[in-house]
Amino acid sequence: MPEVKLQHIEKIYDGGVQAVWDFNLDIADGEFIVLVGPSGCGKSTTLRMVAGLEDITKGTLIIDGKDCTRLPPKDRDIAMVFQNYALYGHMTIYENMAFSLTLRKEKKEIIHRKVMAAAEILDLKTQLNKKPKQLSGGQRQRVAMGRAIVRNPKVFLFDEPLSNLDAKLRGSMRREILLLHKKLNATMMYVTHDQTEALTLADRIVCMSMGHVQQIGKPIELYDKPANTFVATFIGLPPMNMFDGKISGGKFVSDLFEYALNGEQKKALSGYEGQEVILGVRPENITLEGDIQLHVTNNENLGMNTLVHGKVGGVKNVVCKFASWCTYKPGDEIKIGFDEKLMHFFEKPVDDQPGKAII
Amino acid sequence: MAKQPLTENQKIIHSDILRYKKNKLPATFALLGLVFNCLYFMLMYGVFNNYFYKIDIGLSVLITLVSLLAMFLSSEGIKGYNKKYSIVLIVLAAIQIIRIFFFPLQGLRHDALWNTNVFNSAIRYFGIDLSQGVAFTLLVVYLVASAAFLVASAVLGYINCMRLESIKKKIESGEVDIMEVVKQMDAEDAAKEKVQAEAQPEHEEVQ
Repeated sequence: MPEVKLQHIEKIYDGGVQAVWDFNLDIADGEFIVLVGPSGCGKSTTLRMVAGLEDITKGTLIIDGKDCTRLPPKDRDIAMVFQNYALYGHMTIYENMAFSLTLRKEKKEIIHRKVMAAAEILDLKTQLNKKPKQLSGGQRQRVAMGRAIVRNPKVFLFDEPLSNLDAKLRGSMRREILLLHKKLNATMMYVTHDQTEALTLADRIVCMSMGHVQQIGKPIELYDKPANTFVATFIGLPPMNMFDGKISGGKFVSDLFEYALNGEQKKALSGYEGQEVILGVRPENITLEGDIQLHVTNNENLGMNTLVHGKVGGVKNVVCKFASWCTYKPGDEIKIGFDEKLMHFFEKPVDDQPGKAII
Repeated sequence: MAKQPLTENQKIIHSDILRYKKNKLPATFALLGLVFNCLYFMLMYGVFNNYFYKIDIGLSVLITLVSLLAMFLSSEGIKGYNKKYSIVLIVLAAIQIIRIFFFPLQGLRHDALWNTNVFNSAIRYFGIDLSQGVAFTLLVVYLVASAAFLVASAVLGYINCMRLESIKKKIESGEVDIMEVVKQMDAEDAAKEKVQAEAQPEHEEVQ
């Protein structure tokens, strides 16, 4: 039985603005779900609805078999970790971590055991007598997580917990969260706009845009088989290169170049003859073997690989990622091609809806 | 139901809590001692107004100020598990006891006290009119209460300080590993829960 079920969840604010549309998700016990999407896509609103901090306008929320749609937050047995830590500045770390249990009037002995166990997991044992202001951002975030752990909730909710940290600390904290999930084997929902966090942490990713779920799947599924043009361009860094064109006579024909389709592609695109489609290629799937002319505008060596920015046909910006040290100069002309096994074709977007994946 | 004695592990946990908590109860007792001292001098100067003016008042004010300061500092000191302040608190308690034998008891022994013709004016204290006799009795009660709280603070504070010192030594020497104790207790609780869960269906069947 899934631990958390979100069934046809919708959120309409008082002004009539709809933030979330028909959200459906079954989260299994111990699963790590990451909600990812750009700002304003409704991911935090969804999380807050699960937490009970926002009313659910329509739909049903079931946690561990119990309908929690109208239940107050305190009765849902969930714990939330916020971006700004939300620690009490006048309390020590020990008191901060013990606070929720103290409110529940738990025995001092039980509180102490839980706080010590959480401090051990989070490596905070030496910090327990300090005040939050004496700790670094990463340590404070660990305290916020400790406060959640001591409650032993059914579900952990994380609302962009690493957004306030610098890049290096974010990386180490990401690994710590992953280890924590393995240690606790708890059900976790995590909101972020950072796709690296989503790809590295999630068992499954929920990609959202404009309040709609765009795709739910394992990180590799979202990367390898994006459901539509939004997911294709949102997941992956640098984003996927998209070329507008149409299918004509077994070829993909755009204003910039023509590309002869292979047998598999022809078969999949047989119903699209004469129709406009979008060709998507990830920067790392562009090769230096082909006949498409690229006018280099920038060459960024990143050590392990090189990002080559350029224009095709003088207008279309294209980013290539080559696994070698390149020394192109702006103005150089190079020939590129695509790895035909890793090309994506999408339908043309209609009415602001992203184009669906064909192959 | 009789309270079960603490197990060895529970005792360790209770002592370990002191490492992360301030010594609040003894500190509160010391502050209560201070409060009763305040009540004492507020009433005492009311009695003085009706009774006599002497150089003693100056001395009394000085003792009061010093004792108030000392009580407050001791309260803060004992809160931080400084056992030296237990001695200070005992000394302050002794001073409070000694004070009883000076002004309040002398006043109570004064024959004229009970003669309302001589001391017929009542003492107004928190909106209540008190007779001289009641006022002097209250002064004794306040000093006794203040001394009692100071002694309680000193004793309890000292005990907690010793417990903290002891657990710190044990942890430093490796004699006690708190995480090991926590794990043992968790395992014991889990075993108890399991036994209870197994016993539950049988219990229902009997019903």
